[in-house]
Amino acid sequence: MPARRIALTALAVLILLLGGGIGAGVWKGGWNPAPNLALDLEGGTQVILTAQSRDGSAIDSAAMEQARQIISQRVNALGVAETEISVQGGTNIVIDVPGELSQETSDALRQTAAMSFRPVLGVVAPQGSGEALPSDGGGDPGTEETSAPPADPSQQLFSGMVSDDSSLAPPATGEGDLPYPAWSMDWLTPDMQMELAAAECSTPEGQQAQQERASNALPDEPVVACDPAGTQKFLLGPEVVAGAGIADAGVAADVTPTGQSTGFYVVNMQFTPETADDFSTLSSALYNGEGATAAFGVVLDGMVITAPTVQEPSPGGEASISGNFSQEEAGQLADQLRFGALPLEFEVASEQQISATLGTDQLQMGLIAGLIGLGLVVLYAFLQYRALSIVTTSSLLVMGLLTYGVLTVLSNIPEIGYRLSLAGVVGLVLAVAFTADSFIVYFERVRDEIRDGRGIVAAVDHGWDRAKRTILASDSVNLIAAVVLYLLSTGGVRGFAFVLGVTTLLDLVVVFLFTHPILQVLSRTRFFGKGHPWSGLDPAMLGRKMPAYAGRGRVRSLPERRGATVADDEEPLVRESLAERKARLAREAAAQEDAAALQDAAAEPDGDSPAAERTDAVTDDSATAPEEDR
Amino acid sequence: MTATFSQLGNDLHAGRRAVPIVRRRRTWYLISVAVLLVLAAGSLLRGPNLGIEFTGGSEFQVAGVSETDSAIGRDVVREHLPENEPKITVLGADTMRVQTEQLESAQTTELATDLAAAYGVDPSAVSTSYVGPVWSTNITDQMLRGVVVFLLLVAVTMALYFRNVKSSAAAMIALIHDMLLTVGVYLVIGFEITPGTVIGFLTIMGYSLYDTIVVFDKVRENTDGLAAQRTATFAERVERAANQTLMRSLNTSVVALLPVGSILAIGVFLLGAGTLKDISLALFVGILAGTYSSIFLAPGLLVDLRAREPEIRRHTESVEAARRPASTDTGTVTAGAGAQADDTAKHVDPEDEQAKDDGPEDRGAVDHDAEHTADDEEDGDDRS
Repeated sequence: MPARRIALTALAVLILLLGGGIGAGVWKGGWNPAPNLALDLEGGTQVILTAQSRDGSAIDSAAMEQARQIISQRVNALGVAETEISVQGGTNIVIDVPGELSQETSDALRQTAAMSFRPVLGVVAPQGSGEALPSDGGGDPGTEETSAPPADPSQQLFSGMVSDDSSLAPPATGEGDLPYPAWSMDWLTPDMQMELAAAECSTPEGQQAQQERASNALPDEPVVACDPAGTQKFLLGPEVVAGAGIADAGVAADVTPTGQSTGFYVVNMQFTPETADDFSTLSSALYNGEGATAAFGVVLDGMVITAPTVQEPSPGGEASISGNFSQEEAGQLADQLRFGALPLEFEVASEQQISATLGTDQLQMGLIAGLIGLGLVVLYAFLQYRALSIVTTSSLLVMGLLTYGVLTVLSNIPEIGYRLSLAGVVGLVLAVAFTADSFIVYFERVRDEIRDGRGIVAAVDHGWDRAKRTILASDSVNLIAAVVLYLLSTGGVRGFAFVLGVTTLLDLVVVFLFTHPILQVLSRTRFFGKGHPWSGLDPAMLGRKMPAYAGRGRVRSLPERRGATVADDEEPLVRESLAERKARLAREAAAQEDAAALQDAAAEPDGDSPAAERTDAVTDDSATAPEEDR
Repeated sequence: MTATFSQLGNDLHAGRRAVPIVRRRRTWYLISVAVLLVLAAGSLLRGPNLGIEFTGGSEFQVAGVSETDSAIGRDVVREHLPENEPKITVLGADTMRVQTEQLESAQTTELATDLAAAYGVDPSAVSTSYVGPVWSTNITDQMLRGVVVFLLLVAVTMALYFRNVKSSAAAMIALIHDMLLTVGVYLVIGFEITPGTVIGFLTIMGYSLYDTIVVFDKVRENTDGLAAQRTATFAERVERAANQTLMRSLNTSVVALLPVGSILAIGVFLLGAGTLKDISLALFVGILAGTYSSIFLAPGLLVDLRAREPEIRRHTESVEAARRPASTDTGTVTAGAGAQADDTAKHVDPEDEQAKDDGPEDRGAVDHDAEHTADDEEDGDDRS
């Protein structure tokens, strides 16, 4: 079986596999028989979050992946269907939500995470004095003495997991360069008292303002912060452990000492080896009553998400928080702890909400543009390559079929989940140009071979050998562009790069498995193989003064070509066709023109303007070249 | 028309006609430099027209409005943001685009609802987008990183493919020329620069190289076995190659411009703005620049870069030495001995020369092959 048959068979198998796969997927697997559409075509909301490293270190992909998972959990917990969350371009998290984004979801996405563990110095009622902060005059001095934390977060209890450890002797003071331990009442300076008194936690505005102030506080300063529900106001000491000190957090069922389930859940935290000691010092000190209260607060983004009271010190770097949590509550807290542990900060870089009407419009227009472009290319190919344009058109059809199939499969495989965006549509239209260009490279090479005097069959094979390398090189450049764009970009650019990459690969498949084999087959037919004037391969049109070599070892003489009867010839009797005659006349005209031009050149070697040159001027380049090149 | 085209193609192939691509290369350089200078001066006068993706801000698109009066939108925005002057444009037939400063998420929703009410459309017909301050630096960084990585990778790939650093360098210069030209046109005319434009820019880089590769491939083929003959210099061979691929380059450009042009037309006339227009406009300008540079700049650059290679210089000298006696005898017309002279002779009297002609040409074809096998073996010599 000749190579061309193998190639065509392989292609047929490929198309059948794609078709069959899609058919089976639609029938059994609930596949969509067309590529899924991206938000800009379907309508929906896209939020892009950009990560910034909190400590200036490089952002690694593992942290981004973890952040992505946490954000997914947050969004999914809100019951938003079909949300797609992906890490793109290294430091961006792209959230695609079909339809409109609810305020709740939007807030959940915006919630960033800077977490710290601080001892609770006091808890007061949420109402603020309403006074502007810088005003002098002591705040209500009574507030500072509040003990016995009443409401929600502080009802949560804390216990070390490894309670029977004997080495509980707490170090006398706090670590580091703090003047006094983080849990000391000495932090309650008049300034802090004032802030505590003034802070307003019971109204959303006040809460927001306080949150902002608290998130901007330095780690070695005390802060005043609210709890998310707005029921309490906390005074917290300096940071003892930063959020990044948490290695992991998870949920477990709460059990009584006898091992019976309480029906509630606890959150287990594990500290990294570097921070375990700091935390154990804190928990021991609070447990031993050295602090103002026995509680510590976990501050996430300037809000106290939990303030458990220490029930047992935690020497081993493991701890659990219990507080009659439901599984959901415990899960949320664990998420927050894990997220807070990431050394990343997220900022909403862009948010786009596209109406479905606009998307449909754009898709329609894009497709119409594509069809018009395709039609024009086919028409142009016909003018240039006559019947050879059958090859172009059918190759483009095969290309279309393959692209459709591949994109459909890729968008139905959940791991890839490709979605066609508007930029992708442009990529597809552009693919028409790139694919057509492969043919042009190929056809022009074949024609060059014919111009050099080769027979058509040989010219096809030879031209292919040359064109192949060019096509491979060009496609590699495109592929590099696609891969670089895909890996380094976000959003629309990425969709375009994906299509560019896929269509470049398919272009190779089509050229190697279809265009070339088909042209080989055609070159063995009479119409093309003998260079019919309409075949696009007519040697006479290509300036060969009649082919010297007709392929298959036969040499055709001029009279044969001209249609004179030759006894043993199986060829049709071809009279000089219109095109042939035109070509011949043009040649003769050109000869005269050339002769004239040569005279001109001799008379005036430098008088050639570029524009004139192009159409009618000096033709013998070697006549002037040596002089100028020197 | 086709007959003329293919006639032109034939003539270019045979060398009967030639565009003085290499001979006049300084003229082409000058044209490019002049154009770039004009564009640079122009862009200094006008800053770039950056889309909100780069400047940050909020944008609302109200689709399907019955009255495209920007005053309606302006009033609505003024109510919400007294001190902000919105930028309002009409896109296509019935879409209003309102751009404001960066708005909070809640403000955005309110303004969108009010705009919908003011223009009498359903709130679901309003598209909004918000671009925060991080995004613009982020996207600019990404773009620059992409360009640099791409250029490095491609420079290496080209050097490996052509087994010649100078070919790669010539292609890269042509590529940079295209980028500068496209960016310059954008700055001077004041087209809006959006992420779609960036996609276009990046695609142009691939396209420009693609075109150049085809030309250089032919150059490589024509200059294979250069040392084995004394009829044509390196520069002449390059010129011939550039002319032989001229038709292909033009065809390619037309074929690329057709679909791009149709997207552009639809994007501009039916949609007004957006991704379709942005990408295709950048592509349109870039493809024109790419075609020019791959035809007129890249071959000349290659000659200039490689002419000083000792082997090529020696060869050029020996060719010129071989020509000298001839040129003193018969003047310029026959100065180009060898292949070109053959063609001319054939050409002057095609019919009569037929019998004689078939012979040499046939041999030519065979020689061609022999030349190739020989060259494949001595690849190293030629390209070192």
